Amino acid sequence: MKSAFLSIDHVSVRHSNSSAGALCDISFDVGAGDVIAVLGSSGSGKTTLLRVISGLQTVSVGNVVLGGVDITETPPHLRGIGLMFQEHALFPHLNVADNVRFGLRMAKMPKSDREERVAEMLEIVGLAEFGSRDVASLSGGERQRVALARTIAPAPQLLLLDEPMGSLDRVSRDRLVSQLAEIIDRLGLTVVYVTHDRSEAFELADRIAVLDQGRLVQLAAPEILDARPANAHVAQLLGHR
Amino acid sequence: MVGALPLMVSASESRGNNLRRKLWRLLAATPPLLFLGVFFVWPVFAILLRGLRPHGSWNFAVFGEVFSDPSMRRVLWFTLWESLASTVLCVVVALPAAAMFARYRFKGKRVLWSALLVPFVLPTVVVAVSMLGVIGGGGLAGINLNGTVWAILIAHVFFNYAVVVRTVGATWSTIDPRLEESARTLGAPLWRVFREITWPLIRSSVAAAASIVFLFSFTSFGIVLILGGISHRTLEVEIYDQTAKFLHLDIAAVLAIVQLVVVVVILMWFGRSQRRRSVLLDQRSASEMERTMETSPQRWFIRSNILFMAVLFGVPLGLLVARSFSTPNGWGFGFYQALTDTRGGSTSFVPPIDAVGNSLLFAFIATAIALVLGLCAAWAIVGDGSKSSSIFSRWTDTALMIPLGTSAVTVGFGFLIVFDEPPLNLRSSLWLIPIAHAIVALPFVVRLLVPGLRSIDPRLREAASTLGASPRQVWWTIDVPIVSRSLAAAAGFAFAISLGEFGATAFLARPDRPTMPIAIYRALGRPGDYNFGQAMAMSTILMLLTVVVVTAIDRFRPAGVSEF
Repeated sequence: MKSAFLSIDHVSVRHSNSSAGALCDISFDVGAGDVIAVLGSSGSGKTTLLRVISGLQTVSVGNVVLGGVDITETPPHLRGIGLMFQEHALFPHLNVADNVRFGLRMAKMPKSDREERVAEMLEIVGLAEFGSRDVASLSGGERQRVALARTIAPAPQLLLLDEPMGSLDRVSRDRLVSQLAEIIDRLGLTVVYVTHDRSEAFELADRIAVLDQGRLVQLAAPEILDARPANAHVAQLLGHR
Repeated sequence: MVGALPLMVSASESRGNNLRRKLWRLLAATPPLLFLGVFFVWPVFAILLRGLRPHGSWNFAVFGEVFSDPSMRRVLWFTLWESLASTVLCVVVALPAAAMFARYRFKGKRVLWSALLVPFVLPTVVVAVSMLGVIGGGGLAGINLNGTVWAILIAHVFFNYAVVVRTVGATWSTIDPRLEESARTLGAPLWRVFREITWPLIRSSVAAAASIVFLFSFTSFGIVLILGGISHRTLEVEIYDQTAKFLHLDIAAVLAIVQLVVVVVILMWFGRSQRRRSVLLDQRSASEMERTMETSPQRWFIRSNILFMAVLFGVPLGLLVARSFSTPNGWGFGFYQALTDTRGGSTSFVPPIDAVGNSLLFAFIATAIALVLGLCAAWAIVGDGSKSSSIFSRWTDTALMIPLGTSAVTVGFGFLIVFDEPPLNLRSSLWLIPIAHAIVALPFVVRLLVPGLRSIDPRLREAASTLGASPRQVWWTIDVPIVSRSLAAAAGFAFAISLGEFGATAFLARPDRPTMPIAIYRALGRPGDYNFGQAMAMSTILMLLTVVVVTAIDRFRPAGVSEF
């Protein structure tokens, strides 16, 4: 196994009023260039895990280490981690190019490089002509691709995807999953990918982590997971009967 | 087959129905517009004439006189910058609370959100009197701000805080926090998130709130009259003095015109900012947007906001109540008992306690008028969604909003000019006061009823009729229950506004029939602790009445449309 690029070290998150979305003593490593899928039903703590890694959620206990640096106390805007939300969260008052440009402006990239980068990103997601479009006029699939372009534009060290296909229909989902796999591969991205959909996890991931009620139940390569699910819940998530 | 029959209406019949419906709407709009015409446009127009044609011939020289008079110029300038300062201060101070209500879940949130309405509908006279208790001489911490501009500014913030918090908070709560979080992960520090994401999305609602605060500050009467002293006078106070004290009707008319022009400009701007908003934001349930507080900075943010509100509202109102019980002979009901007699230090014709009955009577009549007219207007404004009806409803809507920005003093002054001679001599009639109150309350009533009527999903009516309900049954089972909630809220608002109205009433109240705010003002105008104590006692009663009414309002308020 490659040396750890991202380490989640005994992380717990407790909410004062509910157990949904809590995390309980989670530990695992992700190697550089790895794609990890986090699989679990709703309320299992998948999204909380991504929020912890990105710094939007403070941990009750534990550490997050990225590239050998402890970033547990680092505020989100200094982490260099890209996070793409389920509903894409495109800025409604900015057009497509301005959305993609946002992270580059924050990084104070010189203007000429910036415009080049924006064009390149839109090209990669297949929306080269869409720069001046209003985000409200986009279809679900287009919004999803703009969100992806915006997230990878500042070249994050780590890409976090929270159910990126969540709001799409079956057909565009299948097409976009294979496009996404290709982009991840081409750019050599390290990815943590949250989903409740078994087939997405199997298609994209090198390894799959299964969360249940805030606990890490199993972490293994897809084949192994499929052959030897740790318990009945994992088997059920994988669609075994 | 039988169920399908009612749907098979021939084309001509449905066109006839449409025409009839349009006619009904036009008919419904007539009473409110007529009322507005007679009791608002006519009096205001009369003021215009009085200013421009003082002696039967056009004369613009009065304008020159007014504008070249340094003391008038001072009044104009002061009114402008004081309103602007009040607005800026109010927005700055209230934005953190708007953020708190929009973003965090905490104990007592709903109650606090409702309680914010209390200072907003509190009679200006009560606000001024309770401010006197804190920052007047001998008040808290020995500071005496009475007669300074600070007293006015603080009172205006007290009064308008809820406008900003509730207007901006309602918009802010519909902004997905994940937009801000995305910006964070894209490398934006907190201040840039606010500048680049949050601010552009709330800007139009801030503009809307600010224009309302500006209007209220610009036309504020009771607060400036009581707290401003001799040195700080606004247009509104000047109009009152020129009319009631010096009988310079032409000068007062010119000042009223100047004020109207500013008000109309602001209202037009307000209308524009209203039309631009709600373009971008998709509506979501507020609970989806809330975050629990987790870090200690968040906890401190909420605590300091609540502490600020407690100081801003709790201290003046608490002191008001305390002082009303603090008689020269120790704690007791002395001042309250004094309200029932005409002896002692007071020299009024009638026992002040009579004002309570007068106020309640006027409030009932004003509420009834405002509700009937408001319901007609709202129904006409909501229309049927067709293009012609939307143009018609926009005009009706705008027309009904104008009294919101016009000073009550102008209305009262206009009544004085118009209704003391034939064809309509109401000078000594008791009707003038509730009518004036209804004019002031009407814009609020319409504002509350329109969203209520709009919120009725047409599919509900369709569903009911496919289930076999006749049109009349649909009206009774769908429309009435849904609208009655807004109607109850509107009634509460109209009642509270009437109870507290001061500017117009100051012109119209007969010496023997004072309302509560008038009685308070009269008591303040007389020297001595005894009279001041009576003012405090009367203010406390008025405040309690208002609180009862407002508490009832939020119980009935339809969910999701609450700004005022």
